[in-house]
Amino acid sequence: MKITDVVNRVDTQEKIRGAAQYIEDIPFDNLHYARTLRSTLPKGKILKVAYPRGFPGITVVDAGDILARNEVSMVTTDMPIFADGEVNYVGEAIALIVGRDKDEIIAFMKGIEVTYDPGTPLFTCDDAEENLFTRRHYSKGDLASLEGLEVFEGRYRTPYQEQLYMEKQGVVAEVKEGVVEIFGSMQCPYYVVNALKNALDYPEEKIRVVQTVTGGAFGGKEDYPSIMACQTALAALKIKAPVQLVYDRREDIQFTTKRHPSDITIKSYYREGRIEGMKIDVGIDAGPYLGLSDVVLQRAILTMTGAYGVPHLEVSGTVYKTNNIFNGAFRGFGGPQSLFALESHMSQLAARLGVDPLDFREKHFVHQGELTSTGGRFHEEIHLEEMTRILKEMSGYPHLARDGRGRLVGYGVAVVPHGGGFTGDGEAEHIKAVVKLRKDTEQFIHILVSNVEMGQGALTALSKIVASALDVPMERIIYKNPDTRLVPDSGPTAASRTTMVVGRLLYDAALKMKDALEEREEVVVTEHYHQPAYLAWDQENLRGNAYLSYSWAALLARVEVDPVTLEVTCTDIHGVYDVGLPIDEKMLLGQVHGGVIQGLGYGMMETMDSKEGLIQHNSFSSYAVPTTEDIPAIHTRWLINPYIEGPFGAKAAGELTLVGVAPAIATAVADALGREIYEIPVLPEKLLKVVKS
Amino acid sequence: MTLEHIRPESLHDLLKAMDTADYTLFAGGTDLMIRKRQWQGASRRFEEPIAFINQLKELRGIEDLGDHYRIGALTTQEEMATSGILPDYLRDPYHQMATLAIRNIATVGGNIINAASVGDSLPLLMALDAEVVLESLAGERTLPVTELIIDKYRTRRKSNEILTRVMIPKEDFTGYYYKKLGQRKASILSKLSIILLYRKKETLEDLRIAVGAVNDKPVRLPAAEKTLLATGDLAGYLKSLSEAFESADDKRSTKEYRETVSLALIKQELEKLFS
Repeated sequence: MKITDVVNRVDTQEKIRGAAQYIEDIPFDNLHYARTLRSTLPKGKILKVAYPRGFPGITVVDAGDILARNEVSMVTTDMPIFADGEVNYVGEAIALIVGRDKDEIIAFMKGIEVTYDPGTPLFTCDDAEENLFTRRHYSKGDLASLEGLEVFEGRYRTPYQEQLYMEKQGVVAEVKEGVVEIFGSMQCPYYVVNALKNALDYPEEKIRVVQTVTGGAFGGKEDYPSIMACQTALAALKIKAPVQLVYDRREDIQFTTKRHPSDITIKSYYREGRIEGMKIDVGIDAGPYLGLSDVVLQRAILTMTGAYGVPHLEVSGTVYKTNNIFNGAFRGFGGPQSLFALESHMSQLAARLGVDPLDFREKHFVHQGELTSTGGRFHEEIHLEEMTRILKEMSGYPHLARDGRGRLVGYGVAVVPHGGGFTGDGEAEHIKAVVKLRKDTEQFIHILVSNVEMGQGALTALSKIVASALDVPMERIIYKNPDTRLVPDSGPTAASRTTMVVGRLLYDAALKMKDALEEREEVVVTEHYHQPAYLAWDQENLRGNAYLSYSWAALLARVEVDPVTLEVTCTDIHGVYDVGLPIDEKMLLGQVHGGVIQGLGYGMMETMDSKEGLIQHNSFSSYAVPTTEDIPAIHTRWLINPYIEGPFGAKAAGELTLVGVAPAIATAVADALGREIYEIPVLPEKLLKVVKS
Repeated sequence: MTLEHIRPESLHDLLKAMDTADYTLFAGGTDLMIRKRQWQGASRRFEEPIAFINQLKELRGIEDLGDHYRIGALTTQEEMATSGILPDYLRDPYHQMATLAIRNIATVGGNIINAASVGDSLPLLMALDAEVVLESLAGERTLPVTELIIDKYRTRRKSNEILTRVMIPKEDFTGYYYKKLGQRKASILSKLSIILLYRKKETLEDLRIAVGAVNDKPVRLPAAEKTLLATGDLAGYLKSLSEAFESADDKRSTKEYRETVSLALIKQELEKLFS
């Protein structure tokens, strides 16, 4: 087959037919259920946990059952598997209550009494020393030389966002012949392996992790399954039976990781309609443990100048430690926060200068060969002017109709990048991906990678890459959910890296296999990741090429605002995307539609407040996400700009489609009302305050 | 304690049972199943005896009785929304409730007796001067909906009574305005809802206004409506309404928004009517 052939996704039939077996559907002999005893305080010492008597079927698993280390290893190791003597957020796991009968577990839990010595919690991002996790900084040029230029400063805030994957978090742990086996809904099987190695002090041979059909993840199943795997592994070792831990929806919404709330200040120094310098300060709320938050912060600050070349820069960022919920990965990973701030700022300054927001952006676009904000070089072709031209043509810009039949009409734009793969030299230094292709004696070709299908289309995309590289039908490709006993560590399913990085390794492996394709015996080809020689990164000082490559999007949103109720309707999103070469056009459209809808929810609807450290919007009825009635007409074009390192020229796509949507909509609402907006979501309640002020 | 859940075959059997013990009545169950939610796979938290009543066909159906509509309590919301008998002003609010799957099982009586502050049928029924019939072994009594509802989740139904039907007077309204606002466009609880019904021929002859989801109980001010009709004093009516509002900030909206926007929408509609 050819990469340009039209295919159907390989996983849709079994999912639509209801045949797919999710972790909750899979039978295990003598399966025990676990429920989490959670802290009810945001901060405090645990003085005593009194358990009721008379429940022979119940086992408590807690910090006393730790085998080697009470640490959930994920970049950092600061989070305990079970609270040991103290709690640091509402919902923190104190113990697993394990039994065969769920009613008995509930009855037992009703009788538990936890006595605390309450501490003083912190819910706001405060600059006192003990509340700082990490600080990062980089600069470019000489911002001080711009003293005396005109300045424009804005402060931008973004909220929590919940991934709201359809399948809730869930794992089963089982011990078989001394091997700890984890089955579950996850993005990163080897993250789970590494967390278990650290927690149990087991060699890798005694750990097996199997991804089961995963009903959505969006980053929410990047780090969190490691926590559940460590807890259930300890439980399974203790009771010598399989243990299932599947969260309730409310539990999942309230106590698993969210998108980090942010507070970002941008001060622009400008002269003759051009920004000469920017001072940027980014703050994100990590919750009580660092986890992935410093990595999120790095992407946030490295994304801060977006699609623009700014000669003089001072960029700093802080990860704050609070007693709010513990935050983690979510599609965009710091990018949506930065790009809401930056793109709002660009449109506000353009409006203040009385110039067209797209023309203003165009003046600042980066070009091939120029230096990035961190002093790396843009090696690839960049076609932002052409993308903007296409955007204007498809939307009729700038002659945009203002007639909303009684409703206020506004337009907003955003032109945004997304850096593909891990930040800096993360792919080469930390992930070191390995992939294998195996041709069996029946001439089937097996893709052996640890990357997972989580709804995004990985099974189809990687199969199509291999089938196209080999020029064989897709039916000859076998790609099963990863089992770490069978597949090498090709890295996490995150950072829009699966197609671009893992796909390229498979492509290379396929080319090596091509000559051996007709041989009768088994053939195995292994490929290791190597960073292109023209890229360099200094992690200490954040200097060099922050990303392997950039994907780009240019967006225009049209909104209508009811002048009385201030309800916002987004009627149209026009988008032009450069993802190199789309591996599959239908799947790219799927990513675009999903990214637009998730970005629309983030920008104008999804509200999540925390009160005394507890998430208030904890159900489908209060945490409103878009339904089909809220979805605008989505007009999509793409520009083919093959990336030399990508398979068939493909670059990152998954996160790019989300990151620019909220600012496009928010600036459109600002345009409709003739006001400036500094905060998402643009709820009518907040617009009422904006209009009244 | 073993729970004596029952599933009576007739209204009479149900009333007999209700005369001897307190039963929670389970009709469509769309609110109860959520209120009694439990860890998936464990028993739901039905700790009191339940009487399942959805099989009582005699409590179902929509009839036009000349001067009023008679609605059986177990009539589903979707049957209301798609009725060939009912006028649009009655169907429209039902059509905007919940989702199709919920409306197919949720009942007219359930939405009333649940008495949630966000129950979308309540402002409509109050504006229409609808009455409910409550039956027990001792007989039946009729109460206006506005009297039945005390406040959020509280009604004047006695534990041995069941709401069997709703009586809605037929009016020759010439127009209506219904607006439901939520966090999104569909499948959502109300942050506020407004029903305005009127008869306008040469002059404005009848006018009813009710506002839902702002206070614990929908707001309707019949005396102020009469004064408005007589004097055309919009400002006076809006002032009375504003004074009656006692909203609060919650997960769905704010006091400021609910009250400001309710008044603005009603003012806009009244200005059209009185112009």
